[in-house]
Amino acid sequence: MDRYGYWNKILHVNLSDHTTWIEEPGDAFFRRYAGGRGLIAHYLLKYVPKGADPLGPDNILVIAPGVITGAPVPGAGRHSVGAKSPLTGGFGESESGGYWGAELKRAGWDAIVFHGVSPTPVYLWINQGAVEFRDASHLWGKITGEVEDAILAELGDPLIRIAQIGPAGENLVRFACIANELNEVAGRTGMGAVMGSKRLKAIAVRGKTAVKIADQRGLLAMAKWVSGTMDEKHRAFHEFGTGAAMQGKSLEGGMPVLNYRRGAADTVAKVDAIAVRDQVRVKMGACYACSVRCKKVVHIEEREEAARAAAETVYKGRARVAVDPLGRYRVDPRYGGPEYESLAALGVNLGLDDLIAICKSNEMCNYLAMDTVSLGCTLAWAMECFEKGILTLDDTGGVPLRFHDADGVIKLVEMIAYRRGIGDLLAEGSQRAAQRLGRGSEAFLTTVKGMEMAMHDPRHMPVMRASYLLAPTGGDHMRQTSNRNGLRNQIGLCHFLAYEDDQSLEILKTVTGWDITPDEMVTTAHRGLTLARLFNLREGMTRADDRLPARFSDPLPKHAGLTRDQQDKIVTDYYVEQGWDPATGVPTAETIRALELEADAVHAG
Amino acid sequence: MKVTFFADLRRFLPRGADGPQPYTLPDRSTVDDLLAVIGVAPNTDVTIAVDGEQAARETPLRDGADVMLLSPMEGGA
Repeated sequence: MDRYGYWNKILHVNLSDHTTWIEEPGDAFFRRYAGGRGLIAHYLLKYVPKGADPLGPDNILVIAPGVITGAPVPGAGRHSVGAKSPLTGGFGESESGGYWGAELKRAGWDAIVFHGVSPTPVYLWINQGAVEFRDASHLWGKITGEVEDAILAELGDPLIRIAQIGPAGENLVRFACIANELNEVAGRTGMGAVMGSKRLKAIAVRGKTAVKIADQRGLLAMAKWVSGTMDEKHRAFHEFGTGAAMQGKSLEGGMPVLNYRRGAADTVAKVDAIAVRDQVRVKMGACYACSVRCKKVVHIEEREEAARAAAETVYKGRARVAVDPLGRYRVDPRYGGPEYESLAALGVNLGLDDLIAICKSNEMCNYLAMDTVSLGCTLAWAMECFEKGILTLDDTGGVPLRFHDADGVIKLVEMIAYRRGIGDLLAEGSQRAAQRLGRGSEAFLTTVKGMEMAMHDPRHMPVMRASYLLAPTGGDHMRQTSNRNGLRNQIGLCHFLAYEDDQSLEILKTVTGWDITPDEMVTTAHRGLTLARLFNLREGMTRADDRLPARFSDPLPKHAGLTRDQQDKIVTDYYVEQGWDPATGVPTAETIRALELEADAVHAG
Repeated sequence: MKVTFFADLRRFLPRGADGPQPYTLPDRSTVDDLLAVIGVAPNTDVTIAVDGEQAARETPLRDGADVMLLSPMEGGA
């Protein structure tokens, strides 16, 4: 039969003995799981033994685009990365944009499953259908930009796309990320640490075969709709990227400030996306096939002469290159620019209004490959501990951990990536660090299931409450618990595209040719969430893990704290909606049957 | 008065315009009256600040008021 949107080819890679095999699971498999979370959870249940060490040889690493990834339509440049998370001990998943996922699809692969641990550092070179293990000893220890340059030179093709870990992943920092094209990251849940534990430095991909589309004309109409409605639907993203509404958030009293203790800061306008545009941005970048172009690119030089030269030679006078007036930092545009989460986590929540230093720490997180949210929240936790005398200079080896200290943050970012001094404790993430430290430091945590919450306060934003409480990955803000976003994480569609549900359905239909209904879309989203739930339950999580940390029971100046009863109601309602036991959150036998997950559930016991 | 549009609400800017825009309204006008003049539909989700303080739709506007219209933030934005 004709097959559209996917190839029916899963690449399995055994890193222990450097062998590969191809799985062709069949069309029903792709219709059932759709890619992304569905595939990841299926393989985690199947291959990872209960209780496996997330950083040991029994964990797997799954890289899974969705069935629409690589289709020529805005938003179809996403891929997911999954494994048992070294941060939460449960279901780990993170998504990235850019071009890498589409390139993998264009190389003829629907997903990669990595097993085992390589005896020595390697990188994988996927050239269409050919797969080659290559030595990465000379790349180990290098930052991402150096690795990208070296691999492109070695393989001799500038169009190769590279996903890789940085020194943080090698050093098993529990919130290390996987970067692709240097400025896109699968940031959350510590997937970079899993890749580092497998001694897999990078995955280089070159694909030359367009993904087959069932209805080219229908898909083109959708792409035209995006460009034709740019002003109405995507203007803020197109003009600023994320972070243009920070002043509104602060005004409403919902901005995370000084470890989520205040809801507002009068310095927000100094570090929001408008300030980025006006002061440090040189251009906007895009992901595969996307006309929205929401990715900030910042360029800062230490000296005026260098900035002037770059403006003339690199940007041909079309952009002004910023200068650090204190001559401290250069920020390389190859590493993109800060998203809202980074502006808040590395900035406002640490009491910083130094935009140049924030851009620098964001750049460092990209070239060392660490998640800015978990890193920023871990620092905020540590700074509050220091402020209250729970962490002292004796504990930190003489390094002060102070809010409002921009240059101090820059030093700490590097200490964490290389696990130097106090950085070794902080590289464990805030929850493990608090468990180790004790002394009441748990009271300042902002983690759910062990993962640091993103920069949207649930006391201020009701829509975030279910997301934080119930996302299978822990403190996640992307509302992956909803049918809309849950589905997008599976099929590979960007959350920022303002497609209505019927348009997402249309994209899925035009790409795959499936005669899919809205009900089946909801079922697909439920299936992914239920699989992830089964994995978390198997690994020992319970209803007690579906809870916000104590900090969010405290009120903000403009918003009440969230009570246990409020949280319990949200959790129970969600369990019922998903067809899980209302008391325990265990998916019922009826739900397992309805979602056709009997075979997966066998591995969930 | 002077109105600054943020984020998605910049779609209400006059074509080609940028930065704060001047508006003139009759005495005793409210934020609601201003939104109607601009063309913001009554059901649009919008955060309003008048002279730096969060305001309601019925908040009266003084002559020369500094108004900000801001989008509420969603996840990731």
